[in-house]
Amino acid sequence: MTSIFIVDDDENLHRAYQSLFSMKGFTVIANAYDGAQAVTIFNQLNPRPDILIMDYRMPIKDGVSATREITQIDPTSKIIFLSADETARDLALQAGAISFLIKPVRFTYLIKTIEDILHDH
Amino acid sequence: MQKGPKDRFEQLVETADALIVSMNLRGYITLFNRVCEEVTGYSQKEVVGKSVFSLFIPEEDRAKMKKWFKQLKEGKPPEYPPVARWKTKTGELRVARWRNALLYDDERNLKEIVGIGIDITEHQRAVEKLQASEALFRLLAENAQEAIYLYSFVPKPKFDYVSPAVETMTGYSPDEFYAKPELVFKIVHPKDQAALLRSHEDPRSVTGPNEIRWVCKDGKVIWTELKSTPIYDEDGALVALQGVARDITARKETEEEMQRARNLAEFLVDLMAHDLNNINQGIMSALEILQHDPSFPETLIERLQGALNQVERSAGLIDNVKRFQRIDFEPIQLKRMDIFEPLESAIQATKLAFPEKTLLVTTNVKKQQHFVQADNFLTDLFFNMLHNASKYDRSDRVTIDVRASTSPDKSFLKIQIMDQGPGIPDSEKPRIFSRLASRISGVKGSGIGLTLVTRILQRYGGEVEVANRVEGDHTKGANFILTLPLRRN
Repeated sequence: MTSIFIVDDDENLHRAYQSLFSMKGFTVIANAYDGAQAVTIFNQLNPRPDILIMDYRMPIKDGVSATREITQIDPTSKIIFLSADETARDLALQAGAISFLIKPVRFTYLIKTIEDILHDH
Repeated sequence: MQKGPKDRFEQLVETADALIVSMNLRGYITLFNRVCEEVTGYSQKEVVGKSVFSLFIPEEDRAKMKKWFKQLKEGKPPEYPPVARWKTKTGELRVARWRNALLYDDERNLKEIVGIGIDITEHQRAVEKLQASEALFRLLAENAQEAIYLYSFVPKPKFDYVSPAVETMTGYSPDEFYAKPELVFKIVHPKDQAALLRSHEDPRSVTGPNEIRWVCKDGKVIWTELKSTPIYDEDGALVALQGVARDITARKETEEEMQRARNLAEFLVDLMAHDLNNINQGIMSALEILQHDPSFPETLIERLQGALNQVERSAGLIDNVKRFQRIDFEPIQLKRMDIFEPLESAIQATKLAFPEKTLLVTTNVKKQQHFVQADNFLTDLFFNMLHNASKYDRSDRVTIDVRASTSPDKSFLKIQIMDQGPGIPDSEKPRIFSRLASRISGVKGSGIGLTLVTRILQRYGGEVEVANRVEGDHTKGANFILTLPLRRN
């Protein structure tokens, strides 16, 4: 079963993703609401999540900085950026993200992206 | 045979590099040397025995010259400076500076007056020219709106000249700058002190105009653009600076106002793009939960799909507003581009934007066939045209034909985008590219897409017009005709 770690400062999105992923048979194994919390939780996760969904603009630490740290901890991490700020695309990919999607994204497209990544890696 | 004093005098007269003319007491010429001949064009033979006044002196000067001649004869000091104008054979007026020698006979009676002169015509003309040029410079400098200055560093720093405009600009008069040359460093804005000092100490390091702020006598701060030219001595030491200071306060205020407007626009667009799209994501996800919920009533599925489409439309609108901002602020740097790839990308993006429709796009555009001067907005241009055609065609199967052809003189590329939608009535055609006119055949749209198209085409020096796909019948669909400057291989 595909495990997901959601990092976003919007609580409503956590709830919505949770419902949608569970409908699809994915398991949300962790939630973080800022970049710093994401790094702390990621360090403690065992096993690691199959996929991280990462926002960019968040309090305390942004998604790019968190991605940089997480990929240092585990270079095999698969991080999908889901952000409304497309100017962060290059930064996110340089930091180690695998894909960058611009909000709003249809859930079917997000699922397809996850499946493609898991298939290719 | 040994030469006598008379021979020696004549030899001297002939070899001297000065004008030498001798007259008797009535003013008749008795001697006229080689230099006189060269200057006047007359030979000695032509002038000897003739009156110097009637032959050489211009009529208007004759009376005063006769008076001067009379005074010489009487042994009185002449009233006029020994500078006289005389006419050449061609009528040209020349000027000479004269010294006179009086020759006496053995009884000490005055016999002849010898004039020894130097032709100063060229010098006189140069002086007059310089005076005219100085007068003109002064006229310009004194009336110019710019402050003109000449600042010397040696023997000690001082202003040699400051034009009156400096007082209008700063409130300080030229005299105040002459009296206190250091005033210039006292009234410069603290933030620009280093820049001014650098322009004084090492003017070579200042390339282009120097923008400097000053605190005026009344406390007001003004911006000036200084354009200084350094003057060096033969050893390469800086000895002076000359230049012009132009008041650019109004321009700087406009620039600052524009920057503030740009920052505000960026902030608002960022706020809208980021925060509204986050909200859009929330709404979209909530609607998708309902869509996937087996208990959701079948009868409302169509409405749910409509709501999802509206969210996507909202996101598309935000996207276009962001593009609007980029078009306005991004510098125009066009490059040679094949239209094939941007068109293909736009077709794929349009298909993704309307998953519920079947989009059939036919085109005669091939790879490496048509090149235009464009940038990355070219894909947006095609996408907006195709998106617009797909949006207004209410059928499930949207057919669009894209035809490209070069103008007969090969200077423009014509791209026709022909749809089979509801078409545009002739009365609406002139208005559809305006943001405010967005109601076409009862379908209300944002209207921003076509306005964006117009703006992108303006970047490229192109145009757009709309016609009917079928001549005379607007209901058979529209034909949008884009013209773009063509770049051939």
